[in-house]
Amino acid sequence: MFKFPFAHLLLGTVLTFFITMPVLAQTPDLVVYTYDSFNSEWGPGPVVFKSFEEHCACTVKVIAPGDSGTVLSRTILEKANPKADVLLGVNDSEVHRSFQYNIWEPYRSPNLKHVVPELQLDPQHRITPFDHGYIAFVYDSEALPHPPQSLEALTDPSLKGKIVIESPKTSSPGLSFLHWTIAVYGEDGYLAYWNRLKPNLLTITDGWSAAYGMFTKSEVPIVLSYITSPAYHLEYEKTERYKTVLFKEGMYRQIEFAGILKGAKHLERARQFIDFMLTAEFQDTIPLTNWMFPAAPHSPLPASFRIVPKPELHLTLDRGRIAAKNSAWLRAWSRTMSN
Amino acid sequence: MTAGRWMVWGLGGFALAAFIVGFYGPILHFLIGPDPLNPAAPALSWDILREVLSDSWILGIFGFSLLQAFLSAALSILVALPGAWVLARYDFPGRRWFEHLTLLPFLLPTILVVLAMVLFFGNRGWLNQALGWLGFPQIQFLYSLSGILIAHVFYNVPLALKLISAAWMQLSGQYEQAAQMLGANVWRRFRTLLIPLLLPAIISAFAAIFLLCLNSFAILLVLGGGPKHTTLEVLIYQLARIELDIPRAASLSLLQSGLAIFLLALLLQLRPPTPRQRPPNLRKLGADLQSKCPEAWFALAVLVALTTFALGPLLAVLVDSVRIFKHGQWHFSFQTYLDLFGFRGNTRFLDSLRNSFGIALGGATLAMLLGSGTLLLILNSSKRTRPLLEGAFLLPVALSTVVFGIAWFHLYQRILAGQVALVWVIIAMHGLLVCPYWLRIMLPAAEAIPRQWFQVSRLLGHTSGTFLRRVLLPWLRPSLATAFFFAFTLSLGELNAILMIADDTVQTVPLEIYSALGGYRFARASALGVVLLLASLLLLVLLNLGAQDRVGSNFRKRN
Repeated sequence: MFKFPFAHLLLGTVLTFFITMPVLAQTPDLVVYTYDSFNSEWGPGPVVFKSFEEHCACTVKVIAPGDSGTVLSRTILEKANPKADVLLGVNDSEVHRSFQYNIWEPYRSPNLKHVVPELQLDPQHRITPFDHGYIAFVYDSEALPHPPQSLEALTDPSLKGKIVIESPKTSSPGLSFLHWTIAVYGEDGYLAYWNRLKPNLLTITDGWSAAYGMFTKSEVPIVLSYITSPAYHLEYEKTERYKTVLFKEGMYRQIEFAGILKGAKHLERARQFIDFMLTAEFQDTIPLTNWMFPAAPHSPLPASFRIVPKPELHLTLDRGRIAAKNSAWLRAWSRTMSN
Repeated sequence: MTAGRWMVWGLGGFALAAFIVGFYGPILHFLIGPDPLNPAAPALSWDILREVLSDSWILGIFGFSLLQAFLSAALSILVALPGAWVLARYDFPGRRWFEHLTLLPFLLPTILVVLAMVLFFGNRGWLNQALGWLGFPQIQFLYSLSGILIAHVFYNVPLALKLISAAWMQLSGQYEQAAQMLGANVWRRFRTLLIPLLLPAIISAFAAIFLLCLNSFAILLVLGGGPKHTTLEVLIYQLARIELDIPRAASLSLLQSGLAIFLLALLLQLRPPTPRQRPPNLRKLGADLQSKCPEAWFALAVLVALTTFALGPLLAVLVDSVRIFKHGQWHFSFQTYLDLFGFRGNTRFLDSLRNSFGIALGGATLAMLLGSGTLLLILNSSKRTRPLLEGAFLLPVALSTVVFGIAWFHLYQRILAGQVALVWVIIAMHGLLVCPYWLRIMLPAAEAIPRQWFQVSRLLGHTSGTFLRRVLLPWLRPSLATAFFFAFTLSLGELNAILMIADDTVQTVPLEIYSALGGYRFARASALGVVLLLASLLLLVLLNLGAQDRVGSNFRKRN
C-alpha cells in the first residue's frame, strides 16, 4: 500500500520556513514608531521614509504595530528602555496621556516657521504638528438626499438606526466625537444629547475600519469619519456620491503630532527627521496618502480636495481639561449608553 | 523505567516547564511586581479588587460576559448536533474536506468576518435582498444579542461538530438497538442514552467554545449594537491599552479568568467516564439517497444548511475582493490581486505571507509538542489531580490576551530583546496560547483508545515505539490533523499578543489586513484574506492526504 509521506512533508515545510526566517535585523540609524495605516503600502510611509533615507544617507527602521492608541501605549510602557527614537502620529485627544508619562525630548525645529501658528499647541516643543483634519459625518447622497446639517439634526427620529459611529473607548475619531459633543453641549448637557442620539445609532464599532466598511457596504447612510473622506472617493473611485457637510455648531479639529522620545539613541538623526517632516517633500505627500491637511502648507491642495468643505468655525477642548476629566467622561458615557 | 514512562515524564515535564516559564512566571511576576507605570504602587491591590466587586455596573458587564459565552456555547452545540449525527452515520465524498473547510473562518481577522457577515446577513445584506426580491419581509437579527450569538455560532459550530461527531462515530450501536427493542421511542433514546454517552465530548466542546466566546471582542462591539452588550474583555482592553490603568485591567482579567476556570473545573468534574469504543461503521450517503431513505435526505439537508451557513460569509469576502467601486458603481475586477502581487514592484506582501506561515506552523508545532506533554500528564493523573491539571492548562486561554501580551512584554523584552530573533518569541507565545485548544480536540480522541489495546500490545511483545507507530498514531491521526490545523488557524489569526512586541521583521498578513482596512482599501483587505485562505488550503491538502484514517478505510474495504 502506498503511504503518503505526510510527516516528512510537514516537517520539511516547517523547516523550510524556519531556514528562510529573518534573523536579527541590522542596526538602523533611526527607529520610528508610527501607526499601521501611515506605513501601509498606500500610506505616506513608504514615500516619505524612503526620501528621508536618501536625504540623510542613512537607514530608517519603521515599526507600525496597530493604531495610534496602541502605539502610544506601547511607547509609554517601554519608556524606561525606549526602542524608538521618534514617535510619529499622536493626535490631540491622546496627547495628554503622553505628557502625563513624560516621554518626550523637547526639540524646536527651525522649520516650525512654516507651520500654521494655531496648530502649535505646545510651548515647550515636546511635540511638533505634522498634519491636521476634522472629524465629520460622511453621508451617502444616493440613500440620503437631505443630510442633517447639525449635531442636533443627527437626533432626528427619521434617522433611526441609520448612523454608525466608533466607540470613544477604543478609537480616536470616536473619542474626538465625544469631546465634540462636550465642546458643544457642555459637561451638563452632553449625556442628554447622547440619550437623544442613541436610537439613531445602528451600532458603535471598535474602530474606524469596521464603521467605514459598514458604510461603504451600504448598511448605513451616515458614518462618523473625516472631512477628507469624500476626497478619497473622488480621487480613486471618481465618484461624488459620498459627501460631507459642515455642522452649524462648528467642526471638531484633530491635529497629529510627532516627537523625539526621551532616551533616544539617535538624537541628532531624530532632530534631522523632525526638520525633514516640515519640508515640502514630506508635507506635499500628506493630502493624498494620509488624507489630512498638511501642517506646513507648501503647495496648493490636490484637485480632488475641491469636494472637501472648508470649516470656518472650529472647536477644541482645553487639553488640561481633557487630562483631568477624560476617564470620568468615558465612565459616564459608558453607563449612559448601556442603559 | 520503561520507554513509555520516560516519554510521559520527558514530554510532560517539558510542557509543565514551558507553562511555568512561559505563562505562570510572567503572569505572577507581573501581578506581584509594581505597576509598570507607577513603580510606587503594586500592580494588584485588594482595594481595586474590592472597588471592582462593589461596582454594580461592572458586575452587570461581568454577568453579561458569562451569559453570552454560555448561550453561544450551548447554541453552537445544539446547532452542531444534527451535523454530528450526519458525520457519525454517513460517509460521503468530501467528508474530511467538509470537516476542515468549516474551520476556515478562524484564519481571518475577526473584523473581516464581521464585515462579511454585515454584507451577508445585514439589514441591506444579500439575504435580506433575496428575501425582499422573493416578496418576504426582511429580517433583522444583527446589532443585538442575537447578532452576537449568530456570529459566535458561525465561528464555533465546526469545532463542536468535530468534537461531538468524533465521539458519536465510536459509540457502540448495541445500546441503541437494545433500547429500541425495549420499546424506547426516538426522543427517549436520545435523551436517556445518547446524550449521556456523548456528554464527555459535549462538555469538552462546551469548555473550548465558552472560553473562545469569553474573549471575543470585535463581534461583540460591532454586531452587538453598542455598549449595551459590552463585555469584560472590552473593558479590559480599554483599561490596559487606552487608559493604561494596568492595575484595574489586571484585577478584572484575574476575576474573569478565575471565575471562568472555576466554572469549567466544576464542569470537567461532572464529566462521566468515556464509554466503551469501537471502530467507526459508516453508511454510504449516496447509496442511501438512491434507496430513498428519508433519514438520508434529512442528512443531506443538514449538510447543505451547514455548508451554506459556514461558507456564506466567506463567499462574501471572496466577492468583496473581486469588485471595485468606480464612477459610483461596482465593477468586477481582479485589479486588487494584480496590485497585491506587483504594486510598486515590492514583495512586502509575499514577505508577510511567509512570516505568517512560518509563525503559524511554528506555533502549531510547538502547541502539538506541549499538547502531547499535557495530554500524557492528564491521562496519567489521578482522579483528584486531573481537574486541577486540566484547569491549569486551560488558564492561558481564559486570561485576556491583552494582559498576557503586557506581562510577556515586561518580563521578556528586557531579557530576550536583541538576543533572539523576534519570530521565535512570537512562536513561543502562540504555542502556549493555542496549546489548550489542541488539547481540547485531542483529549476525547486519546481517551477513546480502547484499554485492551495496551494489554494486547504487551502480549504481542510490542515495544513502546512499535505500539505508538502501529496502533496509536493511526488511531489518532484524523484528530491530530484537525488539532494541528485548528492550532495553525488560531495562531495565524492571532493579533493581540503580537501587537505588543512586533517590530518590522514580523510583518504578518493579519497586520497587513488591518493597515489596508485603516486606509480605505477594503477590497485589498478582502483579497489578502482570500490569499490567506487559499494558502491555508494547501496545508489542508497536505493534512488530508496524511490523515486518511486507516482504521476507517480498512473498515470501508471490508464492507
